[in-house]
Order: sequence, then structure tokens, then C-alpha cells
Amino acid sequence: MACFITSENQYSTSSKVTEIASRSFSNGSYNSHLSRQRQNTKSWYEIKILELKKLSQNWQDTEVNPPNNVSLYWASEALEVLRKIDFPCDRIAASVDEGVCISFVSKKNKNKYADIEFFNNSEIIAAKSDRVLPPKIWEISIDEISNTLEEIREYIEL
Amino acid sequence: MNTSNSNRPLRMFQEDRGIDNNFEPEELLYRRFCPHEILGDRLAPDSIKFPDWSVNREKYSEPHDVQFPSGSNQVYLCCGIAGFSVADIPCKVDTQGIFTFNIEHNPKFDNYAHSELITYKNGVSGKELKNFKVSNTIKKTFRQLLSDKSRIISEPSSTGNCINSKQIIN
Repeated sequence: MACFITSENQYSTSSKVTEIASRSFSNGSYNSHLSRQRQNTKSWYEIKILELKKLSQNWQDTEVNPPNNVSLYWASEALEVLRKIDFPCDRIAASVDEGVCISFVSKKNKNKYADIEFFNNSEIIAAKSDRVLPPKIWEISIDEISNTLEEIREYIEL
Repeated sequence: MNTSNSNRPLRMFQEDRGIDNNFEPEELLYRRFCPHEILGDRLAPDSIKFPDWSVNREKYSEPHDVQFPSGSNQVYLCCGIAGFSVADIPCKVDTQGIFTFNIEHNPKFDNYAHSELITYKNGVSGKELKNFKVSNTIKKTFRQLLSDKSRIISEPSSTGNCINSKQIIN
């Protein structure tokens, strides 16, 4: 994945969009970098969630609402789970279907992709795909977020 | 390359050409994207719109023509270009085959190659149905299938001038 943040310059430009870079949660250099940049203790994903909160109503040319408090809340909860299991995502973005999508790609096999999408209407749907077999798309409940993220981790890291 | 005053290639103008709905399965369809809309070598599924999605067709355009939006003098040179073939469009996304998809030539006066990927519910397009409700699961399946087939033809030039920087209110 090409969206790694490796320098101050890249960070400042990337922060203008709704993408988030891939990195390790335990990346000390990045944390210290953030500390210099933001001078606060917010984690990188908290900062990105805040950026998504700032999306304007017309963030897309068509009538697509930005993430609302529901999708942002559950996306934040999922990111906290990911932090605890030390499984960083590769991307966080507002969805054209109104919500927040957290995505992953395998380092070993770039065709292996997974995501979990939190919709503004409170639905949560996960996806796994390897570009060979038909993708698996399944709806989950709030109680299943942790298990689903573990399942995605196993799939991506296998 | 011949260009208009707005640098739009002259080949893009429709002039007296009509609609051509003859798409070969191997014909490529192009779509511009912003830096944050890709992950690895694929279009991110969450950046693929549903039910209808604009693309340019290979038969009447060059890939970079997608950087010239119809009805505008802007040129999105910062955008990358992704593509997939007509044969890559999912046939169906549900077991019953209620939802089907088709590519239709929809030329604009300044973009003859403009085409739309149209979703049909029981054979009726979303534009014709007043209440075109589609479950998020169906939409996500469609977006994932198309994302799996997408390929990056041209990388975005930079993130610094991304048009989507307008998305964030500072």
C-alpha cells in the first residue's frame, strides 16, 4: 500500500484528505512525530476520526452525507479494538454509501483485502476478498465487532 | 495533441456523433480517482458509487480524458486513472438475480465517451424507479466485486493539490 506516512511533508499533505496511512500502533517514531506535530496525546486514529467529523455536507459532488455520529462512534470503537490487538489498518475513509470504512490489505499477498464498514444507519458490514474466490460479505452486530476484527486479522496475516 | 482553449482534447467533443451502445467485453472503462480513493492497486470499494457510476469508454477516448470533467473547464491533473473492462461488470450480486447491471453510452457534448454503469432492479433502472431501495449488503457486494476487478492505470500525481481537500472544513 502506497499511503505510508514517512515524513512531515507527507503528513501535512495527507492530512487534507480522508485517508489514513498504514503504520504500527507501536511505532515510536511516528508517535513522537505526531507529538511534535499536534502537541497533544491524541492517537493517530483519533485525529483521523476528527478529520472525518469535519467533512462538509457536500464532500461528494452528489447527495452523499458525510459520516454521522453513529458511524463515527462505532468506527472509533473498532479502532480502539485494533489498537488493543496491535493490528493497524491501512486506510480509514468516509464511504460514498454514508459511513466510515476501515480497510486492510495483506503485506504478503496484495490481492487479499478486507474491510469493515460502519454505516450512518447503524448497520455494520464486513468484507473479505482475494480477487479469486467470490468475496465474502456479511452483516455483523455491535457485539461481533471484536470477533470480526480478529477474523479479518487472521485472514490478512495468514 | 490538439486541444481546445480549455485544453480539452478535441476528440472529446460529441459534435454530430450519436449514441453507440455496442460495447465489446474487452473494452476498457476509465474512471478518475483521488489519492485517498485507492488502496494498493485497487479502487477502494467505499469510493465506488452505487447505483449509477460515470466512466469513459476506451472506444472513444484516451485514459487521461477522464481528467476533464464534463461541463467544466477544470482539469483534474492531480487525479489518477483506474480501469476495468466491460466483462468485469458484475452480472448479478444477489442469488435471485433481482439486481442486474449494464453499461450504457451516455455522451455529453464535451465528452463523447461518457458512459454510465446502470443498476436495474427487476429490469427497471434506478432512474425510472421512484423508490429505488437497495440494501447495504447488495451495494457492498457490487462495490467489492468491481473493486476486485479494478486496476490502476495511472497513479495520482500528488496529494497536495487533491481536489478533495475541499472536503474538509478548516
